[in-house]
Amino acid sequence: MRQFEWDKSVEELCSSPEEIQELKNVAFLLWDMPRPQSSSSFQAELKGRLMEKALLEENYVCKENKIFQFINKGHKYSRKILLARPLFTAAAAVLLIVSLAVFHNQGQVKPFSPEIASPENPSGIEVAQNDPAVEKEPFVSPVDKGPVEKPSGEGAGNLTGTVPERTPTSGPGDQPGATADPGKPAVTEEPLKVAPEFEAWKNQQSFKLAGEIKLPPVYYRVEKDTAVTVENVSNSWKPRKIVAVSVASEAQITGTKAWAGEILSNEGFIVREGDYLEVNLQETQKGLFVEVFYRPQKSTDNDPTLVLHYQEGTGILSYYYEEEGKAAQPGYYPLLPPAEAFKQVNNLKWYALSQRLDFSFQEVVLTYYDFLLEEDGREKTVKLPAYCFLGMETLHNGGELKLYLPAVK
Amino acid sequence: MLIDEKEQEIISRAQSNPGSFAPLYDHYFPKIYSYIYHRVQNPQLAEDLVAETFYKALANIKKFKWQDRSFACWLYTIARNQVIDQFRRQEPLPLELDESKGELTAPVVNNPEEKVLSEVTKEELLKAIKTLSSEQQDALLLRFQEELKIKEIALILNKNEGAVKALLFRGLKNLRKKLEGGDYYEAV
Repeated sequence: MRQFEWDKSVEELCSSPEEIQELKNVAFLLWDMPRPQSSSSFQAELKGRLMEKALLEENYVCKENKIFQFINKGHKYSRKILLARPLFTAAAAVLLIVSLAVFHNQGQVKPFSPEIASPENPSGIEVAQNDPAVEKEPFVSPVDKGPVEKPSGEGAGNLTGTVPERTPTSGPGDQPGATADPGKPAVTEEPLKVAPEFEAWKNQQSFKLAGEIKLPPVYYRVEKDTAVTVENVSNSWKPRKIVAVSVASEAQITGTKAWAGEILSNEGFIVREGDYLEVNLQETQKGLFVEVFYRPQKSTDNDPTLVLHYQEGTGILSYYYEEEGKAAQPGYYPLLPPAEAFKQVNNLKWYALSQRLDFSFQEVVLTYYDFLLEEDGREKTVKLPAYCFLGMETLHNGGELKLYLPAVK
Repeated sequence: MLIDEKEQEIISRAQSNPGSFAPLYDHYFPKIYSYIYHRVQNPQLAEDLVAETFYKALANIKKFKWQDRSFACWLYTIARNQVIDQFRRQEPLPLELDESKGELTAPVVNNPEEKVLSEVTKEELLKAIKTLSSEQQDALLLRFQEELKIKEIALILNKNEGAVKALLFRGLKNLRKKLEGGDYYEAV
């Protein structure tokens, strides 16, 4: 049973007993005010959703713990063996030293050196020409030998420093290591390029918008006539990230199509079978660079090709798209990363029936969209490259939504 | 607040196993709903903010530490932040009250002024509350509706106890003035 409790300490601030009584009465009114009741269905529904979320988190924690325990066990077990069996430890150490000595004396394997890496043997395991043991077979230049047999994958050609023709490539053949024949001697000692030479840089253009883009309002499941402004809209951009499951996964080898698919997917572009995907590798003195060309199969003829530049160890360097003359002069134009473009969502006006909306966007497609451009008080429509974000309403009905936002800087 | 001795145990369990969050939810739901409802005075919005509050609580329960702050304080702080964010985001919404508009009763009726108070309806009281400053509303609701201690309110509002007492004093005075003056209709 509730009992009204007054704060004596507040009385210190009152000037008279009458004032104390008056304030006490007001406080009692507040205390006596009936508690509002939410609908029981809401309370139960929210509880259900929370428990579902809790369960998901629990499963995640369990998995994490299991992995940790497994690693921990392995670590403890190996430590136990080494500590409990000094003889075993000593034997292992001797074996290791002997193996190292044998390898060193034979000189079969030399550490990777970028100066001697060649397109035919890009893995870094050099068939060392400087090594007297290998010099038995005389070096044959490509000219003496006749035309060099072109590797099946185009990516391998890129390592020579020439930009290949942009035609779709096939599977793991793009990977330089897959086409190189380790049995053949190196055919060229051409020095590595200092920096990459990307296709997109050869005809790079830039947009100069003669005005300000006016983003269109969003009508979510509502007609314009009955629309009510919704101020309380929450939007999140969470691309469906792919994590390579095993160490041997092809997706972990830079330059493979699987790798490119993963890189794109982590940015929100879901690569599906039949999509146009080209991966060009360039090994330079600054490291390994990749230029990726991507266009979904299902996109319309008007949708442009996305171009990504990537550096091993750094990640995605820049975004471009290939303009064929539909919206601007042909060439390659820089684009905003999807995550950056998504921030424009805060400038949108929302209309719906609900007072509160919550959207989660997971996928993005590069396309064109007709935006309104305001110039000196006049408005005109301009076709611009746009990201179409595909999302879902999470708070109420799970309805889907496509959101077009400008992709240009 | 909650089941005192058991509270720590329940929270520890929920921290290691989020599935055990249910008892905390069951216990605190009516309190948090009541506080948020009185602050926003819109059932639909109150439900949304209550949902946000509990989602945040569940997501961050591992970060909750037993120091000088109770779990209730922690939860009300999350709820208050939701309300503040809401008001930052949008203009105040029109009032949507329950159908029950029964009169409220003041304990003592000795003079004509207090007779006025005795006739105050819930609707009038809610409208008057809304005319107060955000901090005064928080202090009054947390103290007299949610029955928290001044010390706990001080933690939630991030103020010292003296400041909370002053907020309560000024809030009650203003509320009395509004209720007697009847000018609260225009203020909303």
